[in-house]
Amino acid sequence: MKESAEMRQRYLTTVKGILAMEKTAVESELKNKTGILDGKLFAKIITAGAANIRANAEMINALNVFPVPDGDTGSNMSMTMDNGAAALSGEELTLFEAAEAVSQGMLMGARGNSGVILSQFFYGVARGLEGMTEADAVQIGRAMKEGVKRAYSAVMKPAEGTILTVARESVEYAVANINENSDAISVFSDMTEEAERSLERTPELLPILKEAGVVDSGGMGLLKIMEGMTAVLEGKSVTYEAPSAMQKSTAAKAGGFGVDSEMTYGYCTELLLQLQNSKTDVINFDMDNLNAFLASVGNSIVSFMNGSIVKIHVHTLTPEKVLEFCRRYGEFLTVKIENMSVQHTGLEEEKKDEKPVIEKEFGIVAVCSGEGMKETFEGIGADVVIDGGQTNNPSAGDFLQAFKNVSAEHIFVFPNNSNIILAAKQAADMYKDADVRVIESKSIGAGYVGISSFDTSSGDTDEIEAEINDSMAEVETANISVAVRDAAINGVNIRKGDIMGLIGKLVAISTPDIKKAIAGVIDKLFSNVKRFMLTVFCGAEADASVTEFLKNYFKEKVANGEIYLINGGQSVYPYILVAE
Amino acid sequence: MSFAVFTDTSANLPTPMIKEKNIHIVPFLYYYDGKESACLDTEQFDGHAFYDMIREGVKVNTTQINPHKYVEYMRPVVESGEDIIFVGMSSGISGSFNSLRLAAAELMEKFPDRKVCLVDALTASLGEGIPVLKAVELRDAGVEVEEAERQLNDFCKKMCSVFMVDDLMHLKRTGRLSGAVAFIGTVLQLKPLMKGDETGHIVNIGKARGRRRAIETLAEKYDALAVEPENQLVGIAHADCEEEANYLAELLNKNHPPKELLMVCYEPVTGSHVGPGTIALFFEGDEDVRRK
Repeated sequence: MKESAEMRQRYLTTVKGILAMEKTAVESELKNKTGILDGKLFAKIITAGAANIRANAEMINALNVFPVPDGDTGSNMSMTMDNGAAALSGEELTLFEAAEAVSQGMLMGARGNSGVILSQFFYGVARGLEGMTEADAVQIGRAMKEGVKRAYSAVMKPAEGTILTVARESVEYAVANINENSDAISVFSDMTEEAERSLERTPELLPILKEAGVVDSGGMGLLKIMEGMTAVLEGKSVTYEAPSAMQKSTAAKAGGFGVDSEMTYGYCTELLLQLQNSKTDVINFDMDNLNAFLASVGNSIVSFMNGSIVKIHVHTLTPEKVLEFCRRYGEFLTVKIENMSVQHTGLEEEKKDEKPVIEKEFGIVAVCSGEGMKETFEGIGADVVIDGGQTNNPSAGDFLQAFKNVSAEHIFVFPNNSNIILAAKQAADMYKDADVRVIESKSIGAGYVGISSFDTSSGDTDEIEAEINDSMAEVETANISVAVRDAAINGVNIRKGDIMGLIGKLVAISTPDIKKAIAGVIDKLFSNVKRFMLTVFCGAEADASVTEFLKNYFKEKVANGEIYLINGGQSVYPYILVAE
Repeated sequence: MSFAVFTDTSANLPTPMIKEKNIHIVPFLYYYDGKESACLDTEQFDGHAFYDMIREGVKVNTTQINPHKYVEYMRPVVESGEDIIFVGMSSGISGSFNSLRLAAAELMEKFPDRKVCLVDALTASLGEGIPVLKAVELRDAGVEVEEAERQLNDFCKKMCSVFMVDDLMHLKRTGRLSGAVAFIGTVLQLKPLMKGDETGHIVNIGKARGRRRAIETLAEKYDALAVEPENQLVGIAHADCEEEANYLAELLNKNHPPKELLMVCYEPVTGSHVGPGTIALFFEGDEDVRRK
């Protein structure tokens, strides 16, 4: 508690310092001017806001209610702002054109709940500035109020003590203070002043913050953005460098794969294999054996046998192994090997605006992180897996790309994290080429159960969706993790280094002994006698003897229970337990 | 005039019962690790060890009985002047029934006064064993052989065989799965539900999430489809999962307790096709029950 109180103090007194970076120095031209906001100035305040939140992103990430190293609000908001800034082309734009470009960029780049709320805020601001070449204090105030309205409507159940409160209170305060002497500078500095006070009040509104001894991370993010904006308006120098991901790589321009490119996507390998009697028993050729081999060297496997010819499609980093293996059984009729990095960048450049070809009726997009998880989700039927999770929220743009890649008429999306659902929904609203349904799977466990229950036999999209939701209704997911600091949450005292069992959003148990933590979690999960099935994702830090204990404890505890162990390889959580 | 009752070991009847009821039995053969074994005394069969071995990855193969073998088994009985009713494993899942047909034709050609009547059980395990016991009843009641054949064929059509397998891989590997499977069979938690259809083939009828729910679904089938269960002998066969088989028995007894319940461990031949962890339920329904 002492430590986190100190941290809080430190955050709150963080100077409005802005990282000085090289490149494009943005200097205020407002001095001695009218205080009118135009397109050029709008672009400057956006980049200044983006610069300041980036400088503070790590500090904001650490404002996590749970003492788990998985906070990512700062990174999410920073990346969302970066996408807004990147959308500005550098041409002379009217105020509305600039605001519209920024809001579109942010809608696409929105990550995490706070990022989505932020993007909706700027979308509202753009609506409030519609048709304007410039705006005075009153008009700025009106646009900001539009932004607040829009931000609130982005969330189904708006909670106070969050970024929403900070946005609303700061805008209300600034608008109330507008008089004949007001200008853009005074509006923004009033907003920033009140944002700081509002942020300090968030623990009073949201008990979980108070208990954890932190202020709201999203609110802090908004404050940092406003500080950057105000600083540049007040004439301070702010530098902003677009992150490297926003810059187009020269390799991509040169055709996708160059001397320094990394082989990440592997080769799309397709071949027709003529089985031969001299090499194998053609009639009894074992496709399972072949598929098992292909799975060991690649993914996206499609294989079938027609007569004595085997057709294979596989994505692999080692096509030579595939060729070598297959030749043990016959000779090739055709072989095609394509570097998918070339394909990939080529696709990005050339086919950006092409409409996807609809290849099937139903498709599934899922979010998870780690190779083991990805394989597991593909194995149960996900068509496209977006790499992401608690510490790495995918953007709305990532979802849009995934929707294109699925090329299905109806797409079911499993965000698998409560902080990713909004971005998925935002993308679903933006996507017009398919009927996209976002399933509100708030955990890996819920998503796993939902996808593995996926059944299209009814053929009715609404019914399929309802069945998925039914299957997830009884599911409870628990995470086992190590506490990175002392804390007290839901009345549970947590010491740094403790093993915590988190069931949903509740800390069920915290103890130095991982076996005790696991036993405690299993006891709680299966106090509901209707449950009998446990799926365990073993993480990168899972220990074989602990896993054995887990298995035995479950079998003792739950009569006729069923346990399934999956090698998820996830970080942060040695075990994820899914009870149903 | 009386007749002799024949069956094969896939009928899954316990050896003491076979002896007590004077049933002739043709043993099926199976191979693994280059060794041949015959299904013989059920009392000697260690089901737990056998199915654990399959769980560990040992592949068990089976082979159909050729006509000559069938003739060898039946000839002494026919020679002694007795007719035969042979209840055999489904023609939809094994070529043995065809061998049996050829053997019967050969014997009747050589012994024109004798009858060798065949009953296609259209299923295996106790779905075949229960009709065998019915044949014993008819024999003991002195029913004439052709009348018994007719009644048994009707009875087999009404025999409902539904079962849960733990992993479809086994049925797929040995080519015993007919028709399409409507879901991806790779999700560990989804348990395929199967039935023997009206032509004696094994088809997928759905899935359940988890073994317990699959067992409950089997019990629901029984509650919905069993005709006069209070007068029936109902069968349960399990491939090394007795505790769960007991749970199924408990569920059956809850709403419509059957007159009698026979529970067995799957014998190795059929068991190697359905795989460890299979639980099967056999009961009598109406004439259309195999289509339901």
